[in-house]
Amino acid sequence: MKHLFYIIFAVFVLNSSAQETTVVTKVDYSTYLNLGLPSEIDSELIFFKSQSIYSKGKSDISYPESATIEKIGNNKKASNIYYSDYTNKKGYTKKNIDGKTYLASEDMQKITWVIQPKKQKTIMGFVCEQAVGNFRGRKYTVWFTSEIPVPFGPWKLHGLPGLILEAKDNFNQVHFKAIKIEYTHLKDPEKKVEIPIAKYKDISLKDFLVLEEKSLKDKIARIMASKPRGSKINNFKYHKPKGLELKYEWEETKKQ
Amino acid sequence: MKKIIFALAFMLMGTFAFANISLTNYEFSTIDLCENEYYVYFEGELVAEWTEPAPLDDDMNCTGDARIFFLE
Repeated sequence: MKHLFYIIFAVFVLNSSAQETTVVTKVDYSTYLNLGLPSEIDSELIFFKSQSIYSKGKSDISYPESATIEKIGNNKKASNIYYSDYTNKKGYTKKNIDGKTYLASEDMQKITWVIQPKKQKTIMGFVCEQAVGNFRGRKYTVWFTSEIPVPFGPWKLHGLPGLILEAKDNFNQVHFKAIKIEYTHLKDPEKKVEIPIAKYKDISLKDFLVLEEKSLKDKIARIMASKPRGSKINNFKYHKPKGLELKYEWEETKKQ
Repeated sequence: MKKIIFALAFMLMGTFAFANISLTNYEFSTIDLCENEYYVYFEGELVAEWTEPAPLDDDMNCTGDARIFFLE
């Protein structure tokens, strides 16, 4: 009975026409990342019709106790937001570089999922099936529920016949897990998921990554330059940041 | 008697302080206190690291430390 209620809600959300208020689904995820220093991040996914918005919220990094810590920059306003637009098959990442907000666009990557219908588990009362798929260098094992028949998921994971409630990568570095689903009434849901194309500098994801790395190298150089005169720097090593995406399609094309 | 207790307490504090120094530098350094170690993290990922010779204190002991920068 409970699940029937959710299905009616999900269908309602996808097909609802303009009304005074519309019910929109909001999913809270707890995200565990370990790309070096483990961190727990709160994030939320809101979807409406063919668009979704995934935003990263509070991040709780496990800072090591055994060193002097110095934070550089104030990126509180720069929480990353990812928009997906199913109609045009485009994705947009809103992110800051040196105080300037960019909207990095990309074509939504088709993820070829292999569904394992025999592998099931229940997450927050929803029966989920398992699926496995590769996305930009990581192999994700995800759990999705057909009880909420929308193709959305956390971050850039999408394309299954039901909402993705949990996803783990094969390196145990990334783990998204839905912890709460709620239905909120919004007056103008289109605005909530609207992609602010006109508001921010539009750039391709590929060009954005180049800019971001250049900015990062400049910041490292500034830290090194701030050392007292006569400091002798030894064993310098730069590690290109990879983040969640280890490999991009244009890098694969270049190798061929 | 008081003096002996103070002396013992002082020695004990010294031992803890020393132990603390060792622990402080264990995780991020090679326990080579003659080097300062620097690490730069960006979005939880190590992006740069380097070392530099650490200065000596008045007793000619090395004062190396690990220092981590987080780029936000």
